[in-house]
Amino acid sequence: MSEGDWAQAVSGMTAVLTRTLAGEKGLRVEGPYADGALEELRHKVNAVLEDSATNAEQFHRINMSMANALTDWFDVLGAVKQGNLDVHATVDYDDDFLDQLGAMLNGTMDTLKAAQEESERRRQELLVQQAKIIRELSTPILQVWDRVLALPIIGGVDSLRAQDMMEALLQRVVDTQARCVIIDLTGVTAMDTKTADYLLKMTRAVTLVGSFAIVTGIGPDVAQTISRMGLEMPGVPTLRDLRAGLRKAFETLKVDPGTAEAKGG
Amino acid sequence: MAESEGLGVPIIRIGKLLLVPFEAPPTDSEARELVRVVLQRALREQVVAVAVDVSALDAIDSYLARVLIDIVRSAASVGVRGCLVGIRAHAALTLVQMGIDALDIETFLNLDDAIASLGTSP
Repeated sequence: MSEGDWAQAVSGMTAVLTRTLAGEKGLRVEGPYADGALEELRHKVNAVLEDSATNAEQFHRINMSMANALTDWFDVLGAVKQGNLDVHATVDYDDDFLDQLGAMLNGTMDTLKAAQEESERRRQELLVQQAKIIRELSTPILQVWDRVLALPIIGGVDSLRAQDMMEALLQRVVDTQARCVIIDLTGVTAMDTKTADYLLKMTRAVTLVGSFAIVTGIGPDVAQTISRMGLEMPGVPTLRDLRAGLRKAFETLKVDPGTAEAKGG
Repeated sequence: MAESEGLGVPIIRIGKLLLVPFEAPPTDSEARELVRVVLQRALREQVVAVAVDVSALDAIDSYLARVLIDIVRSAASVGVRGCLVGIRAHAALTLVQMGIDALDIETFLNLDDAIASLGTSP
């Protein structure tokens, strides 16, 4: 073979290889070459080119898949950072391994979400329980003497609380067979009409079961509400404070606390 | 007692008081019969008071309230003091919510209170 043939072959192959390295795809060394050895070389080069073409294609595909997956996962994590656990990865990256990783990510997010919901549920439960305890703490029913109960109402009273108080008081009256109940409103600054209505109902219920109600500590605002509503509590003495109420209770029940103490009553 | 048969409600005399414990709300005819028997015994046994014990009743509706008022008023008409004993908390609350709590009849927490007040200890 002539030197010219060799030069031509080598430059041809070099050109193809250079262009392939530069990123061109699908190139082949054209032939055939007259020289057997060169022709063999040509086939080998084309084989390598095909191989690397395939490899390059595969490499490119994996690159794309990873790029997709990473972009997707960054989006998901970004949403998580903002508190959104509902976003999920799409899990379709054209690669089994990456798909598996994506599925695992979704699984983790589901677990996190379930834990978050459980925690929220417990928080709500706790709040409800605490509200109940607060209501119970704020409406203590005190047994101040044999068969004499006192209910000092403190703070604002909404209708839910008023309903609770009414039921609790009535039950205590029956349970302890209290002949007298002193409802003290010294700690009540204001009362709306609905609550005043409950107060009235409370005194009526106390009277109905056969006990005796006394209301003490009505302040000027509460007094105005009651009189404006035209509410009457017949048979229910209203007195200045708890002390006066207790004295009235002893009077009505014909109890002498002095002698009762001596008797150990 | 022959006249108590078929009443479904026992009538017990304790000293000068008749005790009528209700286990369940009576029917119309039972209620009428009850009033009749109570008045009969009140007069015959020189009773001065009748106490209807409702502590076994979870609730007192307007029908039952009327029956009770009826008994007490009928007793009053022959000079016998009537009263209710043992109204439960839930029953009282329901009556008050319904606005029929002004029963205009005496009520006591228990029989001892009733006897102490009505002065009928034997």
